[in-house]
Amino acid sequence: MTSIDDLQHDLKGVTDTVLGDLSTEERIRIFAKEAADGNEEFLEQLADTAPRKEYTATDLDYLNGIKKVGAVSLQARHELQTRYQVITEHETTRDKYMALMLLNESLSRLSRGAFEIDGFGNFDAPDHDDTEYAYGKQQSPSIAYLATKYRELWEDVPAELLVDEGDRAGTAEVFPELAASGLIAYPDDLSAETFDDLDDDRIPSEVHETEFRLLHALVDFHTRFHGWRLFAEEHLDITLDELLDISAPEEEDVAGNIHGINEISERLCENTLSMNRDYLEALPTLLEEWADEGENIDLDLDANAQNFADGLADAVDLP
Amino acid sequence: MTRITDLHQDVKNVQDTVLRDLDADERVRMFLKAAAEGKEDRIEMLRDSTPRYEYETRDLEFTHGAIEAYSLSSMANAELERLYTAIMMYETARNMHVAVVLLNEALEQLSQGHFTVDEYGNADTPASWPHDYGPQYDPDESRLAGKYRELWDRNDLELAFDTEDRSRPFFAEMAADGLLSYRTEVMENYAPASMARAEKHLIDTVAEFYRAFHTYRRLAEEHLDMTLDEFLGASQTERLPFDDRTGPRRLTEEECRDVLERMQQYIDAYEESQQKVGEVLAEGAPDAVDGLDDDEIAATGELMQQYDLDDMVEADVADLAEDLEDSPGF
Repeated sequence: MTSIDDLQHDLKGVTDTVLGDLSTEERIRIFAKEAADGNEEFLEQLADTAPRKEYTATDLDYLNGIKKVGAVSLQARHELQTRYQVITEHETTRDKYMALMLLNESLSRLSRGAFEIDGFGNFDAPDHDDTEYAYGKQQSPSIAYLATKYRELWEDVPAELLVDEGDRAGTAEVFPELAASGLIAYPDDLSAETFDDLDDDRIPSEVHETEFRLLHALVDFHTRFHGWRLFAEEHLDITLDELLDISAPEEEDVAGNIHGINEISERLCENTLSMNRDYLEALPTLLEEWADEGENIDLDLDANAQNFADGLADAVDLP
Repeated sequence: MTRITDLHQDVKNVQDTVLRDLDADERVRMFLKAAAEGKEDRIEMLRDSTPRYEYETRDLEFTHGAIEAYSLSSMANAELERLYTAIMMYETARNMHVAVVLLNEALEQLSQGHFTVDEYGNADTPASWPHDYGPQYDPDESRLAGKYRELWDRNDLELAFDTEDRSRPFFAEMAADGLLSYRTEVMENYAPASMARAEKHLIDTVAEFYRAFHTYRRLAEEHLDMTLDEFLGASQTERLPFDDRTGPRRLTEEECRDVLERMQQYIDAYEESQQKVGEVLAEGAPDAVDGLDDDEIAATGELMQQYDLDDMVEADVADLAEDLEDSPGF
């Protein structure tokens, strides 16, 4: 009788034969598909069954080494650039929410009592049927009301948007979006809900949440920036700027623009962290607040960066 | 007597001998230094002096093809994510600037004319508003910041880490940012406001994203016989908890299409602006500019009048496909 082990061995033999017959092109296409599925075991089989050939070639260790260097540089550039942009986005989002809340408060004062907004962003908006709105019924009454108010105000603003220059009605889409943002910026009131076992009777405001996202992004950025810097300096013996330059885009386009790219450099990273240092400085106190009693949370940002750099050195495994 | 050329030859021979003796480790590190310093000739010397060995190894075409496919996928991920986050960043910036100028306008109406901001962002604040930020601040900015702060305090609004020393400079920064949203007066002319600049960046970035997205999508579908999601997935790492707070976003085709649909008016505006530039250029170089080839400019102009992003995609796909054909294994 065939034992299970024998059977598995037989099956593997069949797969190996089929895989052994693949042409190089077929093998690469299958490789790309399987890599997308993350099927490590099969990838290994695919590599093991590739035919072996005899070559005279330029030192393969050297060729693989320089390929790795290019890939590592691109990875560093990509990680830092994307994360720098995420930080800027969170910062701007925070400012946007704050400006909108201040705007709502000012509008409330301007309306002389017709429009009173409370600390949770609630107010009695006139019903769609009673008022002439510029927006259809697909918007909730409060958003339609606010958007209309914003737009009326915009008519008097001596500033201009680029796309809609000379056509202020064309900016209509911006205002419902802003009004919706303006309303979710406030905390949520849960005090009237039935969940009376909750510790807290409010969900923190979006401003609050955005600041936490920003804090997380900064911690991550600190680790990766200093991590990559240490990796370049200690393991590659070059500066971070030099590492980033290896994969720098060759030239600007015809018009001289590199649009989306904020040219990333050591100095920009330093500045970003320095401009937001109050968040990172507040971190130890916050961690203490969050910790359960008696729990000892130890967060050493510099140690994190060093670990990240050492991890990179292991993973990249340059010759 | 040794002639100069002989000497050169000798130096070159010595160099070659030294370079040939490097082991792979040393060679990679020297390559790294040379690449970092952009020294092309040294990279070439390193390459030429690398020893050649006889190997019996796994099909090299497969190995290199797999590396090539993987790097192409990483590059696509890097480019799409970078542009996607840039779109989010510029869009938020535009909205933030709009919100601040609206706020200033509301304050102007509230003050019944005592506070005004002109089209260049020059604020004129009433002396009755407190100027308590100290002499290093511009009085108008300081008064406006005080007004923001007052509105904020009266409303019981909260920042995540609200402290007196934190929110004070914060509002000053916001007042300064807000005033930059308007045009800047430069001599008799004006520079576009930061609001318009944010929008200009947004337009350019959206156009670049459109190009990159469709190029990689078509490359995957037409030349690699897989979907864009499969192609991107080949080099995307596993998602970790809390990753979405900090990125990377691990984009999918659907997310890309959503953002492009939302930004359709900017894509149109981009094509239109390129065509308009083309119309001007087609007339030839402006009189004020000397030394430019008139015909060349006119020809570029005529091409730009037909500007169409899909044509650019077509050309990009053809370029990438040609590179692929040249690499082993394809």
